[in-house]
Amino acid sequence: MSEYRQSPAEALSAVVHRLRARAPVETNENWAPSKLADAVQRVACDESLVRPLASGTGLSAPMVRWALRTTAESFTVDTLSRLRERAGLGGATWPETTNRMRLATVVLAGNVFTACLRPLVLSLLYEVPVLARTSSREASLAEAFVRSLPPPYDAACAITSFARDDDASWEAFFRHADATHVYGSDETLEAIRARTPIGTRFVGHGHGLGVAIVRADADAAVASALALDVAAYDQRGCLSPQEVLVVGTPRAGEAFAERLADALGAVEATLPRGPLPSEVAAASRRWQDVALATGELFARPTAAVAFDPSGMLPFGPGHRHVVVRVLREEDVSRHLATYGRHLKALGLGPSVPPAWIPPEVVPRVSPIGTMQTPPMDAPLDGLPPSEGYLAFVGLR
Amino acid sequence: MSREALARRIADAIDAGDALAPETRDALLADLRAYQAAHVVPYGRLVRGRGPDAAMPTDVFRFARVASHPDTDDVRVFRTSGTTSGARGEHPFADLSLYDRAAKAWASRMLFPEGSMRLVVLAPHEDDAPDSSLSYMLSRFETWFGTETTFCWKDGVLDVDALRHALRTDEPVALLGTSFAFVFAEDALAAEDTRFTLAPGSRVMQTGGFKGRTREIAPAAMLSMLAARFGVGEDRVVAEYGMTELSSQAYETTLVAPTAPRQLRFPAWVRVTAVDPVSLEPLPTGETGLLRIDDAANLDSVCALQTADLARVHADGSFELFGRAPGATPRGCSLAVEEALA
Repeated sequence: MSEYRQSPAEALSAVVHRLRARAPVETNENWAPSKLADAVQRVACDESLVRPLASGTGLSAPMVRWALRTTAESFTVDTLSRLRERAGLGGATWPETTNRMRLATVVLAGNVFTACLRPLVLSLLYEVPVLARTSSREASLAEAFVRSLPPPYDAACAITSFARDDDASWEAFFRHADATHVYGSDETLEAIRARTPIGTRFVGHGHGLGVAIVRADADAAVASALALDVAAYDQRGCLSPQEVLVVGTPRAGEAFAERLADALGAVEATLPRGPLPSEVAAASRRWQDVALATGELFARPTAAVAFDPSGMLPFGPGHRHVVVRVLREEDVSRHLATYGRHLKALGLGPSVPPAWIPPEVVPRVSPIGTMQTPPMDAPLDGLPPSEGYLAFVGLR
Repeated sequence: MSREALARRIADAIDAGDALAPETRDALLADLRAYQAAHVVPYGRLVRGRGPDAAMPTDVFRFARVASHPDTDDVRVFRTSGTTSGARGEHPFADLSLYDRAAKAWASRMLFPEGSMRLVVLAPHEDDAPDSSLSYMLSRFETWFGTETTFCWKDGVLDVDALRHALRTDEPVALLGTSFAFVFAEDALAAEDTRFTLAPGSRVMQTGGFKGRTREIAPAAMLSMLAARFGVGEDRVVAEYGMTELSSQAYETTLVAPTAPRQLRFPAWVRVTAVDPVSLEPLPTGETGLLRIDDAANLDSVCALQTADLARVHADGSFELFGRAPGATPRGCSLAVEEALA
């Protein structure tokens, strides 16, 4: 007697059909935002997740707790309610200007483990069932979030994982998706865009970097605030500052680099860095030696800041390695423009005018000290939160 | 110690060849490092931070001038062929006499032990690539070792007609070129089904990587390909390992020790060490680590260089290469961005 077994792709296809059958996710305005906000709070406070998350991400346990807490803080009932209202979903019926999507798929990256929460919550908030493919490096938070969802959301959200070269699973993943949200490198985005069916809305969030700008008189308090931005997620996120621009003299730049190194040293007491993978440790040593030979290096046990007078030193290997360069005020805009769409976050020190931001870049702009804690309803890559979850049609 | 005194000691070391005692070489290297720490600004900074034995990462040649002399005294600047970050490394020379002395001495021993012969070169002449150290060296080979020399790489492309013509000879030939040029030659010659049987005594020297200019071929496959296409035994194919940042080269021991395992060897005035990738401390003989090269012929730049190449160094000083050390891939978004911006 033979037994029929589903292939992984067939199993995934079944999940897709089950999720689509849940569309639109039944929602009651009175409890939708609070149920979702509560689910986020539950995983954020779940101490049992800390150890596996630390193990899976390579972050320290205090860093994991900090990331969970600061991420959850922005998922408030008020914020979620406002998002629905802004999309015109606050009333009893859907606005005529909106088409209902039946399935959104999400391809998650592995560098910032909390980044999975936003797309999952947004999709459910907008009543669209969602299927997410997790990174091979870290899946436990997304899985825990799904487990924490109450009805009806628990049946409208699923997590999957399959190999990058599993063509059949990719096809099942995309075939009935109305939109797909992809996080990853440009290479990943292009590869997945090529697989996306023509009728599926593709929303890509490519990798990028953060830059901070301070004036010459930036003091130890500014350095402390910036150190938190650098230390968060061990500088592995797209919002992580890799470069600090000091508008002033070389002497001021070098002095700020040392202050920043001291501040990073102090951060270690509360938010220790995770262990360095061996290849990162080797890259760190090489980068530090190059920095030492070409400028000034301020090394601390778990961080390093290079003052780079040449203007050519490459970014560090993440994990709390920062380049500090000096620029004239009139050169800031041109310098930022060279990063183009890759500039994802811009941290501004006191008295730094937003007018320095060139029009061709659309980073998230925030005061230094808040670069890594964006509000969940903030635009991402210049796109509103509803992008790829609601399909608007023309007004009659 | 003065530059002139060091130059004399280096010349003596090169002339001594295999007779150079390791202790003499190491003493020379120590004096060179001290001189360079005092006169080469980036190296001085590194030594102040890391101590007198520090080796300078080769990347520094991309971001700073590495020379003990002002640029007005440059007689030649060799440049690297570029990397993913875009910046090209520069190695300035105030005097090429030690470079020439080193290159000639070791090539005489490892590549042309029988003396001069016909040369066929799959690389640009130095007139076409004045900042290429390889082109400079091969053009010197023309003077030192060539009875007749044909350069088959012109205006950035392979001159297949010139190659075909130059290889149709009954005389032994030294066919010298870059890996990617050999791939171009293979493609062109395979398309017309042309094979050669080079005269006994011929040899093929291939050097350098591919740097994205053509498809990559594994070393073993390259060896078979060259032997089959040009009709020489694999024991007549010699790999060269050189870097713009060096003044000396390593060759495989194939021609001088055909029955021994294929291994690279620098001359006696160069010390090679496998080091731990993080501490940069020397590893026990036979362990794989990052290759540190101390080249005594680098007088006016820095003799102690830290490469990012993985290697195993044997007790006799020969070494095997295992490619570049793996990059720090898990470092998050910035790596991808840096590569995208390059």
